[in-house]
Amino acid sequence: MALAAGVIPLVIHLLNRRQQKRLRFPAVRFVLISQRRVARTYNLRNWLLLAVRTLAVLLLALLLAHPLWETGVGLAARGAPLTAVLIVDNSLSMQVRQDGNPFDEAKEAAGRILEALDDGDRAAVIATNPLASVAPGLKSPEEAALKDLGPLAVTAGTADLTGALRTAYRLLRGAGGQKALWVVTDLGVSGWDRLSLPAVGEYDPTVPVKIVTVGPAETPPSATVKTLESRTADVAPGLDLELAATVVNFTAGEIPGVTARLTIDEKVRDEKQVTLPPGAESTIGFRFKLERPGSHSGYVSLHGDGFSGNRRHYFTLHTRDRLNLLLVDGDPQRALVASETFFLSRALNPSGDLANSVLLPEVILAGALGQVNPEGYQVVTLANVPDLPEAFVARLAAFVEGGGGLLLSLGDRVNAAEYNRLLWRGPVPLLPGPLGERRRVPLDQNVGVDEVDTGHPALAAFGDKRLLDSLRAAKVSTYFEATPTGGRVLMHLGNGQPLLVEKEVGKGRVLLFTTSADSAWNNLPLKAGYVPLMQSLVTYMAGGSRGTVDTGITAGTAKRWSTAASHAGTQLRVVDPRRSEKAVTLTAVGGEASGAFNGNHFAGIYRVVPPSADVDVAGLYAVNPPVLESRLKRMGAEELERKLGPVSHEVMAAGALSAGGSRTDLALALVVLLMATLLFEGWLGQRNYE
Amino acid sequence: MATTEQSYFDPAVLARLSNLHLKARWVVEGVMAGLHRSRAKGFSVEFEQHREYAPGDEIRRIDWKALGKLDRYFIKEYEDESNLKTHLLLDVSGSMDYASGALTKFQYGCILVASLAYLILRQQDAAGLTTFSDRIDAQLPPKATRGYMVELLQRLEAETTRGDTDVGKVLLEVAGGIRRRGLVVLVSDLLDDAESVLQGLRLFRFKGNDVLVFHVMDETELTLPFSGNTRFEDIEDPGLRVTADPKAIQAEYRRVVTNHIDTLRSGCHQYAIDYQLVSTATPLDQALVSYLSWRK
Repeated sequence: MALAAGVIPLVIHLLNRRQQKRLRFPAVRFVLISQRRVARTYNLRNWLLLAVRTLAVLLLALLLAHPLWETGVGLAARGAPLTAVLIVDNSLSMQVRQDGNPFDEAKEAAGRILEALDDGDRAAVIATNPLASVAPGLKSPEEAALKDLGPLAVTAGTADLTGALRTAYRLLRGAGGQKALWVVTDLGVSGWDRLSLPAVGEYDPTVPVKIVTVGPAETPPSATVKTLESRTADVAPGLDLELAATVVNFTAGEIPGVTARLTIDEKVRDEKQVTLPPGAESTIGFRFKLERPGSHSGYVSLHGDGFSGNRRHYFTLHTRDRLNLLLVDGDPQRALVASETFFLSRALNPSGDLANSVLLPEVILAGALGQVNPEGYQVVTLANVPDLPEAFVARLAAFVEGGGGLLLSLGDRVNAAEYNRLLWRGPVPLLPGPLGERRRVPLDQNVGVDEVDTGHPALAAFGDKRLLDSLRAAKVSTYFEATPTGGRVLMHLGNGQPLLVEKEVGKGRVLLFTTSADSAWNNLPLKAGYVPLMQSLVTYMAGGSRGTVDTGITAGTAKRWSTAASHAGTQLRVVDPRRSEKAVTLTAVGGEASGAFNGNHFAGIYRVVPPSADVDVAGLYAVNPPVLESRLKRMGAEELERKLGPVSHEVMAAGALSAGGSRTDLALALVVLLMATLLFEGWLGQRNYE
Repeated sequence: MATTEQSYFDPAVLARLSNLHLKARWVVEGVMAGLHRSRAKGFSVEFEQHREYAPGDEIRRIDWKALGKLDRYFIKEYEDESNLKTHLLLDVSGSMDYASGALTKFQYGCILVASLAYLILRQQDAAGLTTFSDRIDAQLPPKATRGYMVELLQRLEAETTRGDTDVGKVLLEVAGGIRRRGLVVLVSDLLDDAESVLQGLRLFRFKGNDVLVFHVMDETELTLPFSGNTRFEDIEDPGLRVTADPKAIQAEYRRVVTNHIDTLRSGCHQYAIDYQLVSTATPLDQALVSYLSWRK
């Protein structure tokens, strides 16, 4: 734009030529002779004058552009103080190469740049993945090397070049004199591909960006663990557990002789030898057992030579104790299959192998209720039980209020009036509402399961359409009417009557199933959805999870917690893998106490310490690098050109820094040249009029 | 006093006087008042008779031989002393119609010719008038009568500028028509080829005439003091035009004009022709003084 100003003198010249006066004059012959004589010299001088004026405008434009004269790679500054901002790439790709350590090279290169600066210069070191311990700001070069560059460490995240450039330009904006912007990076595609110049905001295209590349230019063979998941439904001590790790090979060549190892609680649990096929994913299964309940941490690691990439994938295991379930059969039959609890007990433990099931159902007859203490169980199920001893009802109420679960299924032996007296109008109303009349669906009517609240945690599994369709295919022939005055209906029949109703009692929960648990009043037990329905209901009543394998969050993202609103204001302590500790204060948001931790820069296991045991948060979580950080491909020149667009940039290898050199501010020289040009213009202009 | 005298002959002051006769008288009387009487007298060549000396006669005109023989003072009188024929040639071509100040060159020339005629006739010499452009436009033969002044002035007042300049051709033509020696006074801007002009003037000299040239130019013609891109259009030839930056060509223009004037001046000098360059900004007395110098 400024250079276009060079045409201004030409435009003025042409305009002047058009603005001429007319004069009637007697001695035109003398004018003509004079004109002819001076024409050549005058024209030459005129063009020279135009050229000089154009030069003056161009020099002015150049002066405004703040040009520099550079020798070598322009490390040192001459002519005016320099403000240098160094962006150092500390993404994971800088440290997962087997053929070198780009991050060490980067720190050395940044150190060399800072060393070349003079005492009067200012410098700042910015990390692409900022660490809380480093506060970027302009300092003396020595201080920047000591305070900013020294403690810089590689993080497990992807380079945020957009954010780093935004910070860099903000720092440079307020600086005077010469400005320099260096980026020391491996040019890894995962980070540079995310760069968005418009998102940087206000940038200065006149400050050239010097990109110093570190690490080998070649793309090495690389692989990493992409995902990790449990192959078993339950995660509990004593069970045979299986984890499946998906390993991706990013390169076109096969990677042989890779050892994949599973480590839990610092003990190697399983190990596999694999060959990773080119450009593909492979699944590696690990089998193991946990000895104790609670939270565990571990990782799957890859070992072997000849390939790069992130070698460890962290996870946490959260187990719970196996659930003791009491099933009270109110309608036992000689033929086992006809008994009230036959289908239910098998749904809760389909294999019948108690050693490898987290759900441990125990069936008793209704007549034994008088001697049963529910406290030894997590969930009690009353299936078509005709008589409820009042003493048992009192123990049951205490059990539920203390956090236990009660599942009531009905049948032909249930006396609704007695149930209402004991469980609805008793001292602790356990029923979500009074039971009404028993209703038999006429043969010509077809009533099945209609609405299912899949947003409820107990029924979340029925978000799967196939399972939901299986439930909806079931038909109900008989049911009790219920008025859920104190509960929430989770499932409805096709005629609008409640089928499953929940009520919270103290710390525990009660679920009322308005039809039978066996196939006497419905054909639900014959449907595929019956097993997950019953397992989900008892698991929910027992407190939720059946144990999980959690691969946690991606490095650089926030970890969030939500708990009861009463915990607002308390602090969680988060200890990162480097044993650095930070506090997170829970604040009241939308009826909950929430908090977030943004310092998940390093891969590994983070420990969360709540202020008291009643703050229900997981004690461990894992942080893993983005998978693409292991794809060690360097961004090409054309793609880089597209990314940086109008910003002038220069790419050089770190080795080029040894060329040193200096950058000289040409402002003074240009001012002198401009003054000389203007003086010459004045003299030439005067000559033209003499 | 000096200021008053200057104002007296200032062309700007004269321009405000409407009557040409008045202008001529104004100039001549003013000039004569500033000169010694004896300086206004001329010479002649043909001896006619003696007369007795009277007070006021010039001492140098006393015939000393007669004094030696007769012991009385006698003054020599000459035949042509009171019978000089003056031809006033006034250029009325288009180029004379130009003024940057109060008077055009034509108006200035008219006043100058009228003043000369008045002065000549006042001295009882004969004055004639020829106006010309590229040809002779009007011609009044020289006469010495007082009443002739009116006729000359009427002629002058009736004149307007017209046509092109061709001084050389006209001079040749006028010279061919003069039978008796006399004085030729040329008033022109001489915007013509200098050699051609000089050739015409030389012919007058060959025929025994005295020649007095008043080269009238406007001040701007001499200096070209304009600025800014200008399209110059010739007054006589509208087809002749040139666009130039006056500031850029000013120095060269002055050289060209000076060269033209120098050519004319040296050519005149070579043939004993009195040459006088007058700017229209020049007070008229200076021009008349140069005439009187010639008379002396």
